[in-house]
Amino acid sequence: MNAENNAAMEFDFNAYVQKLMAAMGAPDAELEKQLRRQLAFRLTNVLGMNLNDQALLKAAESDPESTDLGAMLSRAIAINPQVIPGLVAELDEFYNETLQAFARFQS
Amino acid sequence: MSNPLHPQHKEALQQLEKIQNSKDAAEVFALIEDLGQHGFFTQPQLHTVEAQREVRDAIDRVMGMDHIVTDMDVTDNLLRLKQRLEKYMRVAPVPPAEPALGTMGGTINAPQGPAIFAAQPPEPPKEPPAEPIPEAEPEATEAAETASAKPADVEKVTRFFQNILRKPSEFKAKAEEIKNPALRAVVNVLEKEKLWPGGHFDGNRFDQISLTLMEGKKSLPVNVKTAIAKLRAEGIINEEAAERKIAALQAEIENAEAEAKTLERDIESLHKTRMARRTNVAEATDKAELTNLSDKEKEMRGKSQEVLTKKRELKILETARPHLGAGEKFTPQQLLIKLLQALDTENKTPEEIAADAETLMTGEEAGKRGKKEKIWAVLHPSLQATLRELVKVKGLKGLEEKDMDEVLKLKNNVPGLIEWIEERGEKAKKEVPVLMAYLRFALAENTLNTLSRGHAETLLKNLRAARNKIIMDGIENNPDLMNKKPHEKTAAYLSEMNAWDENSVKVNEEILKELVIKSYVKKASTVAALIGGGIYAWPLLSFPAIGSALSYIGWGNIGAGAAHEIGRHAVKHFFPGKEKYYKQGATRALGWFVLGPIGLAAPELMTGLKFLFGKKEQIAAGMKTGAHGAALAGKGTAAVAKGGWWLTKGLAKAVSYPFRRNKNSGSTPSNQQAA
Repeated sequence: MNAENNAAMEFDFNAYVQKLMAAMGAPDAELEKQLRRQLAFRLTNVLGMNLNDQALLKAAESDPESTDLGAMLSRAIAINPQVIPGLVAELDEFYNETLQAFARFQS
Repeated sequence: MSNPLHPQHKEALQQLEKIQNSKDAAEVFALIEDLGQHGFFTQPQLHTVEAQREVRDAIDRVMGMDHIVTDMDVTDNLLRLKQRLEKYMRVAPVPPAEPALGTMGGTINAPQGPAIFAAQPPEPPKEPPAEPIPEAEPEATEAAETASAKPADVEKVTRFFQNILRKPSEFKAKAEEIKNPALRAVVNVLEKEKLWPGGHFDGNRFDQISLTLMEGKKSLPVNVKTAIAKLRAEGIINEEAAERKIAALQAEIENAEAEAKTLERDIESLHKTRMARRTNVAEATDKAELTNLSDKEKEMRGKSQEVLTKKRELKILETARPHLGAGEKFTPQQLLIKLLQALDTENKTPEEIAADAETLMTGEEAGKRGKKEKIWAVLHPSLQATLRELVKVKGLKGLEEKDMDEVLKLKNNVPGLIEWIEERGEKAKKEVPVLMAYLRFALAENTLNTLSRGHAETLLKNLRAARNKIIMDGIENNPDLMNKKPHEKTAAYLSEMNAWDENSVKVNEEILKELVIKSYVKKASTVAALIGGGIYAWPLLSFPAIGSALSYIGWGNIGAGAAHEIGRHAVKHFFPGKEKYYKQGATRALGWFVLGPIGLAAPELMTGLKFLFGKKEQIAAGMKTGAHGAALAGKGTAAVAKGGWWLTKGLAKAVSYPFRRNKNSGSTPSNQQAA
């Protein structure tokens, strides 16, 4: 497993959200809720488009009651590390898009 | 009575003259459209074959212009007109000269119109037959082997490739008829005549395909295409030559920059001199100095502009350089290899792929048609077909086939997509997520070819960008949010996106339900097939099935006596010593026909149900499971077929036994019994 892979395996969903919130300098419950929802949509789409049937089933089924997206992502990555580039790209894109929107609303 | 110059003749003649003199494609296109309005393509009595040829030549000439070659839309329209014209020329009867009243023929008072519209003696069209896909005819091979191909051959093969590109389905249907020598000859002639690739409509299409395959690019920006065309027009057809051109350009930029710097220093120095001067100089000297200063400043501005222009050109060239020559470098076989590499799912070695390409080029080996079809499928983007299929089969809610065509045209055009979404009003909020969900579904299914996958990804990305822009504008213009803080606006923006995506999730649910239902339907059809098959196979199955059933319900003796025993005794009587075939056949038939499909279907149905009523997070997984269930239902069907096979095999063995015995030992079972 390479460094990138390790980094992705250690991906902390909460830390990512907090970092994005901090970048906007706005500790706001509603904002955080919407951020998490949008991220959930985007990341599950990436998984759906990049994982094969079995991998997706494993990622979802091994803990079907869990609502922790971060845990599901980690499982998906552990099952198939090839999903990492897609997830990283999506996370980066969302980060930049959100900050750009915030900057536009600031002006 | 002579044929008067019809008013429409006059107008058409004027149009034709304009076409001949025009150098502007758009104008030519409009003029030809006008001719169409005058019935040029539909009223043979108005026009001669020669006039039609004039128009066709004009179209060819305009299509060959540098700035037109790269403009796909104009070229496409012109080509369509040309094809329409040629089709008409092939099928339209040539009008005979109008007979004069009171004469037996038309020779005395032949029409006296202008030369171009004057009645011509009936002239058979010289174009090739209506459907120009060449057969495996020897002349095609000869054409390739001769030093210079005849124009008719060139035209034929050009049209051949147009057919491949424009009507892949028809081509596929005819692919069987095309033997290798012809295909090879076509390609050879195209190369020899420099029709393919480069500088020609078809060449551009092939260039695009090869570039897409090579670079993984969806499409090249127009300015890069123009730069490539320009470089090629200058004879720069490979990367190395482009490198030299770029180096020369860089040197020119350096020189121009140096000159601009020198001029700047001169100007500065002149200014300083004039500022430092304490005494007045003569008026003439002063005027001369000012003129000199003005000239230098003008020259410096010119140099700065030159540097800017050259830098822009350099940037475009540098972008174009990696793409340059992709089409030029590829021989048809190399292009095929690229295509095969793109399609390869078996991790073949380059040698194996080259061998496959050779096989496809020669077409000698049977059984390769599947791959050949894939190649032609790659040559034609099939995303449109896929989406149309989705509309038909899966039923995109609220969206119709024409919407798919419309949105696909806009796939690279975010402002156009924004307009498209806005035009759809409030219902877009439901429709766009539907479309996005299906695009993702198509991508996840991995059934799209290379080009279509690229198109789907582009469309998906740009639809999202358009949607986000619309949402952002909406938030900014919402009076209720005017005084809100930026993070509150951002939350509202994300919330609106989530609302759109929520619709997307609903679609996913629908897809899932649809898949599970389809899975049920498939399994139900398997059961129906089983029952139907059972009815048809009743005479064959009745003995063991009735026997087994009656045994199960406790009427074993009756069952055995009534059916099973009859069957067993019948086999024993007619095929002594071969009762085991009867038993094997009966047991396997029962197992495969009844228990197999049920056993296969049950767990998948359960999983499907679980996901159908499960959580949203599991929807994607449920979709996959549904598809998996459908696949297993297919296996169930295969199992039925296999059961049939076993039964037939068993019966065939049993029936053929006496004859086999006879052949091998010279005695039949009845002979043995008699002995």
